[in-house]
Amino acid sequence: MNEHYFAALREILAQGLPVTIEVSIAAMLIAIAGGLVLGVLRALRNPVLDTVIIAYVEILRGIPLLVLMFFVFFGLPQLGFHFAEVPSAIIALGLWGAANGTEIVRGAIFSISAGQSEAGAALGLNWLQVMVHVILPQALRRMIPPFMSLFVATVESSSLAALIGVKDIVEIVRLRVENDPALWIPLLVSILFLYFFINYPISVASQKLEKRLA
Amino acid sequence: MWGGLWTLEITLTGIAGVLMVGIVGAAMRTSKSALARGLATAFTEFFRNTPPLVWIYFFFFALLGVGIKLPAVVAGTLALVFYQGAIAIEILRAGIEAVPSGQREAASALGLSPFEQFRSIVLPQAFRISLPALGNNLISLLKNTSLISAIGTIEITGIANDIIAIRLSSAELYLTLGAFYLVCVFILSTILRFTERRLARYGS
Amino acid sequence: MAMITMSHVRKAFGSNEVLKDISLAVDPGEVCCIIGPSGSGKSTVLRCINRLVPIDGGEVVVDGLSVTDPKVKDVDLRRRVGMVFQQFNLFPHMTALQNVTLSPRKVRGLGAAEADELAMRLLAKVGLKEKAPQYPAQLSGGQQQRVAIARALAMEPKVMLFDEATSALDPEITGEVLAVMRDLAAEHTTMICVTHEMGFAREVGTHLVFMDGGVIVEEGEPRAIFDNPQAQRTKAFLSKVL
Repeated sequence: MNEHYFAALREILAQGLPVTIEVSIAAMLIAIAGGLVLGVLRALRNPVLDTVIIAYVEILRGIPLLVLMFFVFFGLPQLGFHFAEVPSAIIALGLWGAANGTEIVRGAIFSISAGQSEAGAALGLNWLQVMVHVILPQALRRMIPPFMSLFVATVESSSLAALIGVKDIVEIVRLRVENDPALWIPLLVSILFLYFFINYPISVASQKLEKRLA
Repeated sequence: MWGGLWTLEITLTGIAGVLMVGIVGAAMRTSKSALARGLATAFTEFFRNTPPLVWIYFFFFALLGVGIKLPAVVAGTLALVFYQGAIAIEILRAGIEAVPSGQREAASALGLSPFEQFRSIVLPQAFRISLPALGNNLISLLKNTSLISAIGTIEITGIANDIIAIRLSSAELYLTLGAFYLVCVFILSTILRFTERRLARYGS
Repeated sequence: MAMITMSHVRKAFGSNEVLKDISLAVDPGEVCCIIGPSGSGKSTVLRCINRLVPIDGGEVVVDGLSVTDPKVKDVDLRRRVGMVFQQFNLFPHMTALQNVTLSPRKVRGLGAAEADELAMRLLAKVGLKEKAPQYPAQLSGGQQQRVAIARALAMEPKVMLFDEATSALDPEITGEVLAVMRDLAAEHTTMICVTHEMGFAREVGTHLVFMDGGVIVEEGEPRAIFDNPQAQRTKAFLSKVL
């Protein structure tokens, strides 16, 4: 039993962990980029844009991430879009992350006092100049702790990718226990700690940063 | 659509469980006993930083390994109660700390025991303060019930997957599934907002 | 010709009519002081001049440019009008120097060296040359407001608007800011000041305007109004604040 466990552990760390991390980072990049674009667009306060963006955010946050992943992987092929497991997971996680990212960016931008944009405008700066030189430099600092929390949530949510076949940490455990059910407990406990050791430091750092920025 | 009813039942049971865990845990987190604080903190941090899916597997398969066979529904609900409960502990802790300390002082001066103070003065106010964040937590609970499909086909996502495996008409089914959750989330959100407004009558 | 002419200006926020019928002319070199109770619309009047707030009706002409003319760009208008805010609104992520050089560089297109030279000259003028490399958080309230004045002057505007520039300052510090404003007045800068500093209005102001409830109740020479207010509302207000 022992060799089975260590072999499984090696596979988890050597193959599952990189997949989990890669999927999470790729999704996070989409989330940050998408969040920045949509969040800044919300700052325009254009009613049409706002409605579209709000609809996107509410829908993406109102459905379970799992359902979204299933839809992208199993459902889209029917409509002509075929994505493999890993891209499907990244797309679903990315879309979900971008919805959350939009709220983070919007919250940060709107938390900058109105006097700042007033002063910028009074100096003759146009909307884009005010956003780039005055608002965003201040808002970006406030976005960091929530984005760190989002990363923790993304790593946790990446475990759902196992349910569409992505060979991440959870999936490898599942495959290994099919041969040897006695491995359930040791492997589950091991990956619980693995996820914990990845996420806890980031959570703590995020909390400390948040206190310092307050 | 029995799956839908199961989803709702799991959610309602889950909400009760999460609130219980949240209140007890938050009380421990803010207690004078370092032991209680330590235990509650360890519990909270460990559950919060680990994926709920893994916990669902744990409560079903790991317990199976030691001879405890829980029905999928129970295992799944238990896992989610602990996971979302840990998050609720954090939220309520912040809420408790946000209650002005003058409240506790006044309650002491009136001769209320610490337990009474917590129950009648601190907790209700902390609850009101935490309501938006707690609401989000409960909505997450509703959505995470879909994860139980990983260990069995009882709730609605599991059943949908079953149907799809047979009939292969997945796109519309997933869209309908999505719509189901959106409606549930909307109803839950509305109830929460209504509760927020009712409680807001009692002060800042 | 007047530097700024406001004719029958109206402005409402939702159902709240903040400005009912404002007509005001400010000549070059004038120091126009607007006084009145809170909520009388004084700050809104300033914001209508540089289009921070669009007007609902009437006309505002600044240095020959009409605020309601869509062909007049925001930029052209605001280059002629400098504004100093009650809350200073300095950009916290930039040094004092950078705060002052931002507009000359981005709006007027000055090169880095030119902008720095202009900024240092203005900071020296307000007495803060040594503070140029410091961040707003390191400066006192009075110093921040003086940097804000230098920042507004960097646009080389025709008119300076002061929106309760000393109201957020501790009483002992208002003096240093009022001194800068006094110097500007002595240089014949056209100024419009919304203020509670009656001493300043009386000694430095050349044109006093008393506003209440969205209309101009009384206007004229400061000493005349302070010593002998005509309208009942003016008397009531002055008796409360003097």
